[in-house]
Amino acid sequence: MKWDFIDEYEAWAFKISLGLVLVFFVAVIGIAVLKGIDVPTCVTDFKPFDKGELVQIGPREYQLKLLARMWSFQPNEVVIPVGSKVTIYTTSLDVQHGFEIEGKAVNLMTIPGAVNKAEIVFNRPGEYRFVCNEFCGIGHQSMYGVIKVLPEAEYEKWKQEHGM
Amino acid sequence: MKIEKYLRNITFWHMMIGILSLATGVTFGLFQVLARAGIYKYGSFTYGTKIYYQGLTLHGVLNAIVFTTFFIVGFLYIVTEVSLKRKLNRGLVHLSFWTMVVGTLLAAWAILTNKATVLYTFYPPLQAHPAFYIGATLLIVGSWIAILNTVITHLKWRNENPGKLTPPPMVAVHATYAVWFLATIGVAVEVLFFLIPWSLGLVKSINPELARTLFWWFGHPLVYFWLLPAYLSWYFLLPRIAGGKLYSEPMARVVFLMFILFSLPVGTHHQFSDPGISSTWKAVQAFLTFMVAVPSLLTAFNLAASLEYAGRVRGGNGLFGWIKKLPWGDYRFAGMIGPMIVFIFGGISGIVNASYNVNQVVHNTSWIPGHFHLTVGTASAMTFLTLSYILMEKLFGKRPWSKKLATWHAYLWVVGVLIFSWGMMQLGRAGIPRRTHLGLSPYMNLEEKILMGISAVGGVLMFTSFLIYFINFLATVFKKPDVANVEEVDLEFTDAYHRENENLPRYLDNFTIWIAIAVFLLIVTYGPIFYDVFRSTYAVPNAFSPFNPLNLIK
Amino acid sequence: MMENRDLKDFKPKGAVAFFIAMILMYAVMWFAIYALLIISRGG
Repeated sequence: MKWDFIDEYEAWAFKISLGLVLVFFVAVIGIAVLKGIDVPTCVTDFKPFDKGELVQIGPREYQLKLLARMWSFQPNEVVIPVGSKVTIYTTSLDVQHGFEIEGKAVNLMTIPGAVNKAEIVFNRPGEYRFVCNEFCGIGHQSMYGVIKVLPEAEYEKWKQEHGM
Repeated sequence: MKIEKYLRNITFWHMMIGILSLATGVTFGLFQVLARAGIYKYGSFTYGTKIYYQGLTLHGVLNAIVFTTFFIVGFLYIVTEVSLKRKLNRGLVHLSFWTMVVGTLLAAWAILTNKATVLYTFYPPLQAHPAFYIGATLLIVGSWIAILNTVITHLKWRNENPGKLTPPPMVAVHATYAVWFLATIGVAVEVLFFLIPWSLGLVKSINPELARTLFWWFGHPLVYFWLLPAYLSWYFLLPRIAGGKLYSEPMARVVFLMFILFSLPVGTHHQFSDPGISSTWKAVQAFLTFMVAVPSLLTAFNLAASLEYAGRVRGGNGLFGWIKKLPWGDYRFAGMIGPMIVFIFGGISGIVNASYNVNQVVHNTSWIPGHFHLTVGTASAMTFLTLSYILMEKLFGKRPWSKKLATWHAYLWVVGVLIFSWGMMQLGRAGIPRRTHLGLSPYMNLEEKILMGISAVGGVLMFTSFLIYFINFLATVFKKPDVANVEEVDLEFTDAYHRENENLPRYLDNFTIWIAIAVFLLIVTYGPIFYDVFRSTYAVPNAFSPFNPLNLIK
Repeated sequence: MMENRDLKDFKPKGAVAFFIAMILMYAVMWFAIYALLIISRGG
């Protein structure tokens, strides 16, 4: 192939451009493979559901079935102890919604007829706001909830107070 | 080239319909920033939210679809005739125009009567009136007729000019239309086979994930349909306006051909957060999206070199001394260099969006409107507004009513959009969602409200800038021509420092090859994606109005 | 007019400098967001 119609400066611009995007690509795939920081994938082993709930499935391990509907999340308040690993499954009963946890870079489309999934560990106590980030009708702007990550002692106290 | 009166007039109406749509859309844009900042409430809560999202639908559809499509089709007619020195088919020009007008009127009626408040992505199961979907289809079909007309004209030119290279501006026209045609197939399938039958009540169920995937098949290549005509102007008009030459003509051609290759199999980077598509194929399309960044980076270099050439011709010295010598006070220069500078930031924010898992930080947050007001909202839209002045002069002999205002509108917009987008992007990083009437959101904290206010300041400046443009443009339209009875139209395409010559490999003038590879990439990447969607998602018997949480399907 | 003046043997040194600066700025901005992802997912 003859590329002599391109001069040396252009050839360098080409190599640098290609190099830049390849560095970016290696960086994103690198943390996906090495640290498991990945995007959601195709879920085939979990059918759409119509009830949202938090289920403890092991020590410090939870399954959060999160249901979105116009215009609220079920559940809209989740309380877990610090250090918990939460597997989130989410779907919608009506239209498309979004589910985004502030500060955790968990960002899922919540689609009727499909189940979306993410795994996340909460290593720091605090209140994590989550919001709907896809337009779902006129109540969209008030669709939000909170995940409360409590220190061990506080969590035990909270459990007793709520009879769990 | 002598441009017939009918084509000059119809190009004017393409432009005018576009600009009037934009004016309407921009006005709602102003209300939106004010409403989000909690300054303007639109009356009662119910009325306010209804009209906020209706306005947002108008803002998106009018600015991003109606304005761009009409303007681009009109502008590319002129580029085609001038660069090929050959006439388009008059009947097809009219057929295309009226099809697009009828489509626009249908969709506009549905939105204005609040029967299609579904935003410009019209994701089901939110359901719009059938007129909205049918109108959108007609708008697209109308643009297909324009493509057909252009291709026929080019083929005839080829027969008459065997062995001649396609003129470089025409390469850009082809790239624009190739991308647009292949992209619109996705949305046409979505609308014709799923949304229209479902909105008419002929079928009860719809698969929302399938609809999304088809939409984004169209939705991202769409941005190159907006961008490439701006690139055309930056490559082939701006260097001469600046007083220089395009640095490399062959490189410009390679760039446009790369856009044909990589613009299309990239839509899934809007769906990184979606269920129903395996992460492997998301990564493949992320990679291809990175590849489509390469021609834009090359454009940055080629245009910088062209401007450096101009600055040195004008007596600039030193590594950066040439920058000072560029004609910053020329409205045509201001109106293109402004968007180019802004696009530098649009580019990197776009690469962030495309960056696979990094996208999780910004997906559907305010970062996204922050990003695309730098790209389509400035790089494309402002270049088109500058072109509207240039076309008024070239087609009708009317120079801008005020060149000063035309220059200042450009710089004011740059300042406005940078403030606006900076605020929106900071909000996005804080996790604030897009497409949301945040003025009524219970979850905004003080810092976020302040950022919202800052972006509103930017929005007000943008609106002011547009208002200056709009008044100046209308005054230009209604003034007496400076040059009477224009017949010859010369767009003054630039000369090149490195020109194309006979040694150019012929495959760089064969569009069929590049389009065929693009189709191949589409099939190879989208095949497995549709397989994933079919095996893991379901159609649901849902249809909802945005105003009521009750299913319309019993 | 100036358009008739041609430069002989033009080397786009300034454009090269601009381009490298732009690429470096891109890398810095991009890795800032990239770091945000790692931090937010890590803690």
